[in-house]
Amino acid sequence: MENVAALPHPGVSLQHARAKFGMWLFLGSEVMFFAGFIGAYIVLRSANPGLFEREFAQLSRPLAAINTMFLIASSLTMALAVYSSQHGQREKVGNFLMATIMLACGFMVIKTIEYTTKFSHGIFPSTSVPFAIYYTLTGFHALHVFAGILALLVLWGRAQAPASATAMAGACELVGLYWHLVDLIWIFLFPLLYLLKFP
Amino acid sequence: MAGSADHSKLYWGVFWALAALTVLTVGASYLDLGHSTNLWVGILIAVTKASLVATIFMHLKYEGKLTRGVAAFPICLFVLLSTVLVVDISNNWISQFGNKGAWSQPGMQTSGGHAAGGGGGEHH
Repeated sequence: MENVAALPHPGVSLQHARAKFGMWLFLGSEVMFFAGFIGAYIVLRSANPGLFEREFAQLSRPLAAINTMFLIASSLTMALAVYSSQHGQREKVGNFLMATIMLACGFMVIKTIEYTTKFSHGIFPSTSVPFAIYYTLTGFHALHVFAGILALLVLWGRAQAPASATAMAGACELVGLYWHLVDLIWIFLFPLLYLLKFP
Repeated sequence: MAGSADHSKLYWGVFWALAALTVLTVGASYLDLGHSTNLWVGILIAVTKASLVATIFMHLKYEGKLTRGVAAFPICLFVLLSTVLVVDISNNWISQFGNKGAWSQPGMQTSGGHAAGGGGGEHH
């Protein structure tokens, strides 16, 4: 059972295959970008596990867990948007993209609540090493979410206007890949920052 | 289009699996299994979740060898980086700094405004 998601399905051009490969290369560079920071996190945390544990005890697990659910749900709606775009279901594409945008905005709202609560308690990146790396990792991730929301909005606009179904499916898949990576990175940041304790 | 009807069902299945694993990882973090076990359980669940997202949502399962290779390469580099760091830390730092942590000097500030000196690593 060769899959529809596999591509090529009719109409998928060489150009799209190249664009997709380029996106994978970009995603690889994104993984390395975060790998550097996570490496720094490992070194800093191992150097003083007790301090990290005390500082990170102030982070809100329930809020982070809700945010994880938001991103997972947004990954589902994104995958369904890509799927619908490959089947020429324009209306569904628009709806799923809007759902993805809403869930992403939900993530950003909760992140803002987290940040403003910390700021109101006088906790800033300069407060301590654990919070420096916390703000660095979550800040860069939030920046990626924000960029994703912009890309999704553009894509949603295109889904409203009459456009080539093939071009739409191609663009949708590329943005989808990026969006799933944003989810994937959070899947690691969530336990690393909020749940786990180093021996 | 063989199997296309099943595809959205598959995505829903992956979503529920991811949600269940999230609940599991949060629950496991409250259990006192010892820091090492907690750490490995958390990492194992995260890797499982990431694999589901990469193979199903990102269609890596259906991609060719080249794309899979491009995806695997940075992950291998990251695993290498982490392994080298952890090996270095466990071999050298413990003997140099003992349980105190490498930078837990007196005067180190925390968010509570108190000095963190000597407080690190009490969970060894």
